[in-house]
Amino acid sequence: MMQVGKNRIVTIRYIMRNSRGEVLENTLDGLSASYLHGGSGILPSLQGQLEGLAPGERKQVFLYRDRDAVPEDLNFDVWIEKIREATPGEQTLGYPLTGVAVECAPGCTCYY
Amino acid sequence: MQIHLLSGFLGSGKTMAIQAASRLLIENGMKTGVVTNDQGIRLVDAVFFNHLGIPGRQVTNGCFCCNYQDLDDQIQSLSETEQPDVIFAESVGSCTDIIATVLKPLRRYRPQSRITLTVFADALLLHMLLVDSIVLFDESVRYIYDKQLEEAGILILNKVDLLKPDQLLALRREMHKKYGNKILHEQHVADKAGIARWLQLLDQTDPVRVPPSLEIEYPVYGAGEAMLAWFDQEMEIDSPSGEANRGALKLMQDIYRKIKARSYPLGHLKFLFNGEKKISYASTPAPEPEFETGPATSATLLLNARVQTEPGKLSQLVEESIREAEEKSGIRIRIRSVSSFRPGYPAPTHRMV
Repeated sequence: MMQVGKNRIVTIRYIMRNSRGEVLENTLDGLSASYLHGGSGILPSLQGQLEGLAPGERKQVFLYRDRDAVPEDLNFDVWIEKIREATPGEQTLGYPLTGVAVECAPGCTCYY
Repeated sequence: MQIHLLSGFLGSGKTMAIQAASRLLIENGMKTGVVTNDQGIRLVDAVFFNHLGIPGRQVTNGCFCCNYQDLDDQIQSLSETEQPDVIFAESVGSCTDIIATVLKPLRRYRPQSRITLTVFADALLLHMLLVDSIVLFDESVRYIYDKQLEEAGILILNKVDLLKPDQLLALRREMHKKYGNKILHEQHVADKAGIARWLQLLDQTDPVRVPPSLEIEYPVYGAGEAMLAWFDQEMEIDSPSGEANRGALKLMQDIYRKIKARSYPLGHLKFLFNGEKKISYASTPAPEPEFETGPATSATLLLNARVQTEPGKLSQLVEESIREAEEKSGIRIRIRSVSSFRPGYPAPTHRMV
């Protein structure tokens, strides 16, 4: 099974909490987020902690203000949803070129 | 109050530009707010906005143009509770026709505010598309991308620090040829002077001059796309007897043959086999792709189809093929993800030509 690694597009869902346990973002029911592993789309320290995970796996990830250049301590519950190889264009650009298509209103499809 | 609308494709750097511009404005004693048009602002961006003291609102149930009232409500809420001097409103990456559907309505219904539009483009992506002529998108996505650029009064060539000097020169030449009638501004997020210049351009935008709306014939624009069912499916194929690769090949052929047998016009039918081999079936008469497959106990298949029919019918066709493949080849197929729909065309709340 494909694992999170360099030059792969990784789709994740997550719950992000601050040190007080407040939920800052929750994508479990909404749109998932995709990034190019090894690119600059999300923080390298976050990416590093996802390395080697496979679709369906879950991990709790911590980011610290002192170590990871975030404004406050954060913790994430991350689920790996999908992994695919990045296209050459995506590898050059550093981010996924295809968004998630959603029918936002009757007759209108948006790409997030 | 100033309301700066930002449009631009996925990855064009709109959020980072808002952060950088907000920092500058805050340093100069101004209050800013942000309305995003996305599900979250993607990971820790929202936290950075909070820590910079930039209050945010979201239009989460769709694009600005189809949810104009929601956008207006969020602007009103920010305005009443935070009294910002400047609001940045960042539209979803696939939005276009912003002048007719958002900018002009805002100008009409909020005459006291100064409304501008900036279109962002990743300079490296522009270089790949315009200079290297690399095909990166489906035609429909390229259409949206080109329309976004066409609509720009101020067009930001963003992330120019990622281009080599010769690439930047070549891109400048192409941009001046194609978009010489626009204000072209180069910047990147660490370039404080560049960000300041963008803000200056926004200040200089004539609030009275009405920019031309895009020429988009919605029925024409939507018709071609709306007729095609989009169907994407990821599958894992298991076979303890080593038939996974051969089973995958037969499945691909069977799906193609069923589409032909039912005379569904084919936009495209592509497979990614084991994450590396791309197999495309043509709509025009052509020999079916053939390749050798060795024994394997597992295989993966990503199906990507655009076919002129109902999404439900296409989905049913694929299900039939899977069932038959499992029965005939003794393989087991697990569906990892599926996406099936028929795109329409936007139905904006307002459209002021």
